[in-house]
Parts: sequence; structure tokens; C-alpha cells
Amino acid sequence: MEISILGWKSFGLRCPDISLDLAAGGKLDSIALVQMPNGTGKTTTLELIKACLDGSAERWGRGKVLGFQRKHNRVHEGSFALNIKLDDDRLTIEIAFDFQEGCCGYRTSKASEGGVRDGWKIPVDLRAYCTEQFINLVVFDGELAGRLLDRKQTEAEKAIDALCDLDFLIEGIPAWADSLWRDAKREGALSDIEISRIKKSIDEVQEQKEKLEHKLQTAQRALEEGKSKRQDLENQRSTELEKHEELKKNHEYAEREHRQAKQRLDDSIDQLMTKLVEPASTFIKIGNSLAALKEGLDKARLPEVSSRQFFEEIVEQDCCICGTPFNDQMRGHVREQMGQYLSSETTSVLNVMKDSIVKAVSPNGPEVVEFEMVLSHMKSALQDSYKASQRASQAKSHYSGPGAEEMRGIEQKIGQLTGQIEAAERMVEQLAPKLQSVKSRQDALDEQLAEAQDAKRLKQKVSKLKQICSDAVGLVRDNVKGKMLDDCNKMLPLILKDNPVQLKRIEGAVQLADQDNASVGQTLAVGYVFLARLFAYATHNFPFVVDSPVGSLDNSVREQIGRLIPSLGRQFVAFTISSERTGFVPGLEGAAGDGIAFLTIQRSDRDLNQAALLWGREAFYTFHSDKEEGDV
Amino acid sequence: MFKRSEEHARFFKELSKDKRVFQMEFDLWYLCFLVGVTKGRREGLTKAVDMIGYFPGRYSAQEGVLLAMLLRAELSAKGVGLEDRTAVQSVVDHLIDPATRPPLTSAGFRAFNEYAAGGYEILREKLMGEPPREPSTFLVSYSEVMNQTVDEARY
Repeated sequence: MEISILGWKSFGLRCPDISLDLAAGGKLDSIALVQMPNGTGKTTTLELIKACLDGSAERWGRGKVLGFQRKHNRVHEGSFALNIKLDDDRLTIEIAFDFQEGCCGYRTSKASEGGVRDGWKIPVDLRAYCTEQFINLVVFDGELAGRLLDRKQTEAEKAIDALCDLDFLIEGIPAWADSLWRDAKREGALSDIEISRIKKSIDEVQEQKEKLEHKLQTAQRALEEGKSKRQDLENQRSTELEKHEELKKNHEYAEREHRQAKQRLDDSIDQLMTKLVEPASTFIKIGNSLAALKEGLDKARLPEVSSRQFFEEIVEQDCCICGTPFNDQMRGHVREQMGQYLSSETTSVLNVMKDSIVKAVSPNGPEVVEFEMVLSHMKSALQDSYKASQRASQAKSHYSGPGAEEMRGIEQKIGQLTGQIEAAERMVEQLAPKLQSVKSRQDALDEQLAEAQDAKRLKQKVSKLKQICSDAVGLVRDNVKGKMLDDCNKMLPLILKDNPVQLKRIEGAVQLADQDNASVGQTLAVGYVFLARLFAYATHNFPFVVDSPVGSLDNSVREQIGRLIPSLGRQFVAFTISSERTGFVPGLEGAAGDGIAFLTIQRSDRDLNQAALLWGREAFYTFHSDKEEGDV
Repeated sequence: MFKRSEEHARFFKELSKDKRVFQMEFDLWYLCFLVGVTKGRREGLTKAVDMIGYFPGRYSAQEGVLLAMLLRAELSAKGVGLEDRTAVQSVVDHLIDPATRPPLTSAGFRAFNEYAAGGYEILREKLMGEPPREPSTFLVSYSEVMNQTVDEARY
């Protein structure tokens, strides 16, 4: 896209009101020299042109906005509109000032779309270039060209960064990645020290777990072995017993007695439990209290609504409550119909409760005597069982006769094994929950470590991303610098035919092959060539809008620069003061011929807030007014 | 839901191994409830574990009686006389939910569980904190406790 400045309009601002059309003569010259003496708003105009191109006015504060207000004959509103040519289309970007409110805003209009839209509406494909950094390379003062070669500065590299929009890789992505890491840290991402601490805890817990597992396995093995050995001994006992009839008889007798006593005990336990499950019938006081409860509920007529019990009681009477004598037919009818009058669900719960009480509490009183008997029987059965057990043990330890020695030995071993088995069982019971607890702790630590390592991986990824961005920036810069070097070195001999120079490298600043011996003119020319070549890489062809392109240079250098400008291949709008005419303009005319627009702007004698615009070369050359009132 | 505490489970751990006598967790819970509701002692439940949501097995036939024992204990605890029909109805409504099986509100379940917890505390105190190991010796001790509790009950 070819981008050119067509002109601008200014009203109500500290610079004089003007409406300037660079194509007023019917054609747009590639070079426009705008002569504005000091005090005619040159700096303000350039600042506003820049603001129109980079959208920076959106961020201006009240003080900045009021700074654009006229000093005399103030008005409440002002505006600055920049007209731009985009290929065959026209774009107008206007900054509207409200000095009462101390604010400003943009309005944009595009000829192809019609209408005016609020806001800074630069076309999408231009937006990447309309940044403050890049526009500083479009609208700049003449000293920029020199700064590009100043080794103390990094303007050349900054220019490359701006063209390639490397700020996104230099600042944008790293800042976003850092914010992710900061957020992760806030949520508990851990440092290497914490990760080490968790790993150490995991190792300790693992050791604990292994010890417990070993103990548990040992206990389980002991239990299995014990049971197996006991079984073997019991088999051995049976075999021994078979060999000796007397022993077998005594043993079987003791065992049977013990079994029977145990059975009696079990039966009495069952009977006792059965009694306890029926407390209303087992304990007289409980039964009585529940009966009293039922009676109380009846008296209180709870539940309120009629129950089946009510109807049953009625039909059992000789007469109905209305006095009519009952017969069987009537009783049957009542029983059939009473369903229509039965109670709500709550009522039925209470009635079930009352029915249960009635059933449970025997009319002859609770079976407390029986409970005491059952309890007594159980105590007795317990004693008997204990004695039978003792006798059985004694019988086993007092075997006599043939085989007794062996039997006693077997029984002793069985006794010992039983003790060991019980100990092993207790050990297993204790260890199993402990092991489970340790495993749970291990799982929790593993999870904690995974989270911490995720966070560490995040940090590594952040570092990696930043490195990638840095590498990408480096690659882009190297790539562009390499091409720039080649391009500039090809172009320079064509432009500086008499005093060719070559670029050595671009590191921060542009460095010449023989910088120490390069003249001011050569240095400045290189700067302009560099900018021009740099802009050649841009997708769009931007103009240069330069404030004092030759400034304080001497005339020979000015002439060199003047001759250089037309070869840059883009629109060049230069704001000059009269003292810059010498050397520069002849050099410019020598190279550009009559393709130059000459404009002279000054404050009108009649109204200082109005500009007087003079077109043409003669007016340009004959204008003498260099008032030293300070730049406006 | 009927619940018991973890401490209750630990205390009766050996006993509950005898599946011949105590076939269900509910058996030991019930024995504690019987003591607690007779004494009128409720205790808060800490680290409660769900057991079962209904009266299981042989206890289902006793549902009416057990509800009545609960109601009687609560009326006594709240000082509500049976002649005060409105107050009695209020206590009933607080404990009974006819739409559920068993017909208990959450307050009703909580009352059951807390009387069981109260009964557990009484048994634990009587057994000097020593967890019982044999069902037969435990039941002898239990019966003595229950007899004493019934004797002391103020109905």
C-alpha cells in the first residue's frame, strides 16, 4: 500500500488555524518543503501528525490536552485533522479537543466507506505499523539519521525492532509468561528447596512402609506357619489317639463335655439376646412406662383422627355411640365402611406404636422373672463351660498310660502354637491399619510432589519460552541486519558516488567500515539510506515527515543530503526554517527537478491565530521572517 | 441413618468378631441404645460412621416399641406431660416422619444415635474402659448394668 500525506487542517489550537492541501495544485509532489519559522506551530503540527498516525492521543491526560489550547482568544473546542492517501483511497484522522473537559478523542473517516466514525479507526493491515515506535521512524527530526550511527545509542537496532514489531517477542510474550509463573507461585508452586523436602519425606515414608510391610509379611507368615503346624499337630494328635484306645476315650470325653458346655452357653446367650431384643416384655418397668405412655396418648386423644382401634372398640359395644343397639349386620357394615374414616399417616404411626405396646406388654405382666432365669442360666452355663474347658485342658496335660508322654508333648506344643497364632493375629490386626495409613500418606506426598514438579516444569517452560523469544528476536535481527547491510552497501555507492562508504555491521548503531574517517555528510547520508532501505522491508510504503532535515549542518553536507532525498523513493515532507534553505534546497532541486512543492506558513498579521499560507518557490525563497519566539 | 462412633467400633472390636452372637453391627449398637434410652442419657456423636438406614432383622418387629421408648424418653427429657396434647404432638412431629421408612425425621435418627452414644458411655464407664473380649462375660456384665439402669429409671 502506498501511503502519502495529503495535508492537514488545524483549528482552535496553539498553532495557527490552517487548511493545507499538498495536492492543491492538482498533483501530489513526492517532495514537500514546508517552511515554518519558529513560533508558527511547527513542533505542534508534527506532534499532532504523529498522534494521528499512532493513536497516542487516546492516552493524553488533561494537562497534555490543555497544553494544545491557544494562549490568546481561547476557544472551548479545537481540532486537528490529517488527510492521508492510501493507494486510491482517502483516510482522514481527526483529533477533536474539548478544552472545557480537558479531553480529546478521535474521529475517522474513509472515503471508500463514507461517514465519520468515532475512534481511531486505522485500517487493520496498517495497525501493526501504526505504533509509537514505528511512527517515530516516519515522523522524526533530522538528528535521527545521525543517531542511527551514534555508537552510544541503539537507534538502529530499535528501528529494526519497530519495523519487525519485535516488541511482542521482547516484552509481550515474556511478560505474559512471567505473569503465569507469578500466578502459579501465588497458588503454591514450590521452589527447589520445597521439592527436595518433599522428596526426602517420600523417602522416609517409603522406608517406613517397607519396614511395616516386612513386619506384616513376617506376622502373616508366622500366622500361616503357626496354623499349619497346629493343624499338623492336631493331625498327629488324632493319629496318636487312634493308637491308644484309653487315651482316645478320655480325650473324646473331655472334648465332648467341653463342646456340650459350650453349646449350652451358646444357647443361653441366644436366649438372653432374644430377651434383650424385646425390652417391653423383658423389663417390667419399661413395659409399665410404655403402657402408661399408651394410656396417656389415648387420654389425650392422640392421634386426633379416628383410628381402626376406635372403630373396633365401638363395634364391640352393645350399642353405637348414638344409642342404637348393634346387631351383627350393623357391625359388619361399620367394619366395611370404617376404611373411609381412617387416619392420616402420622396417626397410623402412632397407632402402630400403641398397637406394638399392647402386644409387647403382656396382660399378665412382663416376663422379668424369665429374664432373670435366663441370665442365671447363662451365668451357670458360663461357669460350666469354663470348668469343662479347664477339665479338657487338664485331661490333655494329664494323659496317662501308653502314649501319654507323646500326647502331653503334642498338647503342649499345640498350646504354645495357639499362643503364637494369637500373637501373630494381633500383630496383623495392628499393622494392617498402620500400613494403610502410611500408604495414604505416601500417596498424598506423591501428589504434592507431582504438583510441585508441574510448577517447576511450568517455570522451566516459562524460561524456555523466554529463551525462544529471545532467540527469535536475535534471529530476526540478524536476518534483517544481514539483508540491510547488503542492501545499504549496494545503494550507498550509487548515492555517494564521490565519497562512497560501506557499512561494516549493525550492532545497536550502524557502524561504518571506516567510521573514524567518515564525514558528517556521509554519516547523515548513511542514516537516511538505512531508513529508506529499512522501510523497503515494510509491507507498505510510508512517507518520511522530517523536522529540520539538515538543521545545523554546513552547506556542503546539506547539499549532499538534498541530493540524496529524491533517491529514497518515498514521499518526503520536510519542515524547515529559512536558514536551512541554503545548500539543502539547491541540492534537492538538483536531484528532484520540479517535483517539489514549496509552502511557506506564517501567522497572519491580522489575526495571529490564523495562518497565512504562501505557495511557490519564490515565496519560499524570499521569506525572511525567522522570529525567535521559541517553538510552538 | 443409624450411626455409631469410631470409638464405639474400636471398643467392641473383639466382640464383633463373634458373628455367631453379634451377627450385625446393629446388635451392639442396639444394646447401647437400650441402656442409653432407659437411663435418658444422650451424648453427642464424634467421628460418626454410617451403619444402616432401617431396623434390620429381628429389630424390625420391635420398631413400634423402640419408637415408643424414644418418644417416652424425649417427653421426659423435655418435661412434657402427656396431658399437654399440643406439646406432645409437637414432640411427635419433631421425631416422626410418616413418609419415610423407618418413620423418623433427621432429628429422630439423631436422637436414636445419641441415646446409643449415651449408652455406650455408660457401658464403657462400668467396664472401666476395658474393651470386652468374650460375648458371654460381656453379656453378664451388660445385664447387670441394664438391670441397675432400669431400677434407677424414674418413670
